Amino acid sequence: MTFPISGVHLNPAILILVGFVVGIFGGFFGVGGSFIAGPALFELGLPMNFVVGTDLAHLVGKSLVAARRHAGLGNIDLRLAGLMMISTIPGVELGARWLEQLKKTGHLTHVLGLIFVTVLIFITIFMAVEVWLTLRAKRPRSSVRKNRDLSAFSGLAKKIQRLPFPPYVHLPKSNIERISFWSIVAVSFISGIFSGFLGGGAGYIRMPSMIYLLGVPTHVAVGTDLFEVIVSASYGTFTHALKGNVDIMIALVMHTGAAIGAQIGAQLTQYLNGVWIRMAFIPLPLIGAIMLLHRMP
Amino acid sequence: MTPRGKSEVRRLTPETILYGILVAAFCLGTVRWLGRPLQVLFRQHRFGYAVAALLLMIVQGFALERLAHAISSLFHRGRKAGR
Repeated sequence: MTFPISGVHLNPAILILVGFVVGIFGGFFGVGGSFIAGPALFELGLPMNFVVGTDLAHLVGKSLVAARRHAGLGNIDLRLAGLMMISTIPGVELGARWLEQLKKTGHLTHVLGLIFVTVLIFITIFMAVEVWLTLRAKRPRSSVRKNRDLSAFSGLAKKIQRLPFPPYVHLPKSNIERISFWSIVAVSFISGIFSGFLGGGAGYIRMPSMIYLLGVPTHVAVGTDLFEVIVSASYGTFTHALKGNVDIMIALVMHTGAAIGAQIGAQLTQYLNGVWIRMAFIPLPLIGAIMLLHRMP
Repeated sequence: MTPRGKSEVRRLTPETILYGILVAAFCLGTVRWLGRPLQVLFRQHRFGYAVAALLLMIVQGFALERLAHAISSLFHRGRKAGR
C-alpha cells in the first residue's frame, strides 16, 4: 500500500502488527513504546522525520484507549496527572530547542544516540537491581503474592517525600500523605525534556521516576503515566504535523492494531502485582538500546 | 483466574472485538474517502492538516471506544431485560 503523504510503500499488515505489539506494551507498562515503534518504522523504510511525527500521532490514540481502560480500573491519579502537566509542556519545549541547537553543530545522530542508549541501559540496570533486591528481601512469600506493591528502593521515595520545600500536596489515590509540589514538577519537567529531546512520550523515564522518586504505586504510575503521554504526544503531534513530519494515514493504520493491544495490555495489569510488572518492564529499554545501536552509523 | 476475573474477561472480550471492527472500518473509510483531501491539506494548508490529524486520532482512540462501550452496554441491558 502506498502512503502518498510520506511517499512510501509499506505493508499495512506489518504496520497493524507493530501497532498491536506496541499497544500491548503501552497498555501494560504505561509507556508510549516509541523505543520499539520508532526503530521498527525506520526499519520498514519510513524517513526519520516521519518516524518521529507519525509515532507520536499513533501514540495519542493508543494512550487514550489505554488511559480510558486504566481509569475504569481506578489506576489514574488525576490530581498527580494535573500537577505533572504543568511542567511537562515547558520541558518538551526546552528539549526540542536543545535538539535544534544540536542540529546546528552537525553531530546530532551520534550525540542523541549515545544519550539515548546510556539512559536506556541505566534504567534497565537500575530496575533489574531493584526488582532483584525486592524479590530477594526476606519477606513472607504471601505478601509478594498479594496485591501489595513492595520495593527495595522505597526509602529513596520516602526521603524525597520528606523534602522541606512548600507548598505540599496530599495524594490519597497514590497513598502519599505529603510531598513537595516541586518534587512533582521536577520529575515531569525532566521527563518532558527527554520527550522533546529524544522524541516519544518519555514514559520509559517518567514511569520509573514516579515509582522510585515519588513513591507512586506501580499500577497508579502506569495509568497516570499514560495520561501524561496523551498530553505530550498531542502537543508533539500538532507541532510535528505543522512541520510536515506526520503521515496520519500510517498512524491510523498502526492504531488499528494498537487500539486492541492497548485494551488487552491494560486489562493484563489486573492480574499481576507491582514487582512483577516492573520485572517484565526490564528488557524493554534494553531492546530499544540494542535496536538503536544497530541503527547507528 | 478468579471468578471475578473470568466474568470481567467475558464482559470485555465482545466489547474489544466490536471496538476492533469499528476502528478498522473507520481506518478504511478514512483512507478511502479522506485520503485525497488530507493530501491536499498536507501540501497547501499545514495548520488545517495538523488539526485534522489530531482530531482523527482522538475520534479513532476515544469516540469509537465510547461508541463500542455504549453499544455493548445496550446489548447487555437488552439481554438482561429479555431474561
